[in-house]
Amino acid sequence: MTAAMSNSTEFEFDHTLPAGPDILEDIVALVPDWKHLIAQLDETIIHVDVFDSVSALTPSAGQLLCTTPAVKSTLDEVVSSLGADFLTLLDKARRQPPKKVRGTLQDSQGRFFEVTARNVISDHGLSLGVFFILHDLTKYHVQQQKISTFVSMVAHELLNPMAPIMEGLNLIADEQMGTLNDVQRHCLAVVAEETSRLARLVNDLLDISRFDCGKIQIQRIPVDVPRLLSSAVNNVSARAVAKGISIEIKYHELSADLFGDHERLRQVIINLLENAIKYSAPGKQIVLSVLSRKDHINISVKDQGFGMARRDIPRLFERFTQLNYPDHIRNRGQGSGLGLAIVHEIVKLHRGKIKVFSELNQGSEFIVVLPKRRKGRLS
Amino acid sequence: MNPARILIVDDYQNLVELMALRLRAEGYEVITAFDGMQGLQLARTQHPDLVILDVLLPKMDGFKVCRLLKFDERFRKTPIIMLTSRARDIDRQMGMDMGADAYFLKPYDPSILLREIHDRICESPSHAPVQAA
Repeated sequence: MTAAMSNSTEFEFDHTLPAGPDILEDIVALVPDWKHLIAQLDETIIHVDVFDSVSALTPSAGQLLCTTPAVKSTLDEVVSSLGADFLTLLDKARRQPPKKVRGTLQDSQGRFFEVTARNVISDHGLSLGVFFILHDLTKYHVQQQKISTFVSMVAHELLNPMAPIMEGLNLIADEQMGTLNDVQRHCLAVVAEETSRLARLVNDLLDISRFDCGKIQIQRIPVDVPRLLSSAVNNVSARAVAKGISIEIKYHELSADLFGDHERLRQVIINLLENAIKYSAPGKQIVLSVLSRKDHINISVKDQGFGMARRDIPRLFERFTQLNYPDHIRNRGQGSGLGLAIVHEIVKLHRGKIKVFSELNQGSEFIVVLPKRRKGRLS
Repeated sequence: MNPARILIVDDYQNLVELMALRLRAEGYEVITAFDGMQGLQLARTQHPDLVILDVLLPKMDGFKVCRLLKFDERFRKTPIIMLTSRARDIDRQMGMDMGADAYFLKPYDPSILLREIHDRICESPSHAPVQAA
């Protein structure tokens, strides 16, 4: 990384939140009879002490576990109600105090909860146990499922007519129906381009709705790196050539350690390359490289494009984000506005992270960091 | 040599009509079916050299048609190209598990599909496409 490109933002997907002011910490630290106080709260809170005893419950937590705060619940009872992922969160929270650990749990009745767990540490550095705060998201989850199903149905209905439109356009453009003049040919090319864009937008919408429903499952198998890179570059090469942009591929033999889903990783690279092409001036160069590190593989797309202001970087992976570029750079009519959001989702499924280095007029570099397979298991 | 015969099975009439127009212009003989049962029946009686098969079909879905053809010794080597808007990975996998030779998503690039058809038919020992006049 060059010194000039020090403006960096990193996106991690490990579900930890930075430590911050916490009312629970104050209660526990300042109120001697804190368990009694917590039992008065409306929130759903479960406290597990250092001996794995469930030592405090709020009334709504008791309701959830089909018990009362007065009756002691065991950790086994909590796990049988909230699933084994409860233990994973407990373990994670204990390993990284005082960070908040966030996750989702589904109970035995099919309800969904967003959970924040935090290992509260006393002034003397001792653990006061882990607090779990649960938010019931079942209604929200059901609503999300309905929306996603609706989007998926609409998208399919939109995709179907596009096949005959494309077929008909190509029949005419290939002059199977008679010779065309230059104006007709140009008009058809514009219509074909816009139809392709529409198809892409609908496909991206479909993908996003599937991510929201959790319907995308990725494979974790060895990925043929040279094939992955060349296939992604082939996909965008026509657009790069049209703009006079060259794409250089670099990889090392050791990058063969890459495990993941070939099709989805290809989609990640294509989206990043398209982004780089879109925000580069004609004649510039893009470098696509894969580097093997000790525990991870870095896939990097580096351009010499217009770069971004620091304030824009955190918004990059939001859906339908349009950065404040002048119109000649933004070039409306290209892309779906979902490309980087999809990259985000795929990298998250691979348990990876994304680093972004960028500076205005200095270009940008997107690095997708994917964990290598650990011995004995797929990570 | 007779022109290669292609069976299109899709319930989307407009698409079938334009695809047939294109394939005939390329010199292929084209037969069409608009539901799974009819597709299966036509395949069994007309012995196409290649089948283009949708998934969501009335009467019998494309996966089942594909499986029934591929499990029949007479059609085991007949190339089947699934052409569908079912883009989920699991659908693609299902198509390949049922014995499909290729899986194309709608909307597709007609020139790429045409190349696939051409290549698949060229691999077939008995037929080659006839060039359009």
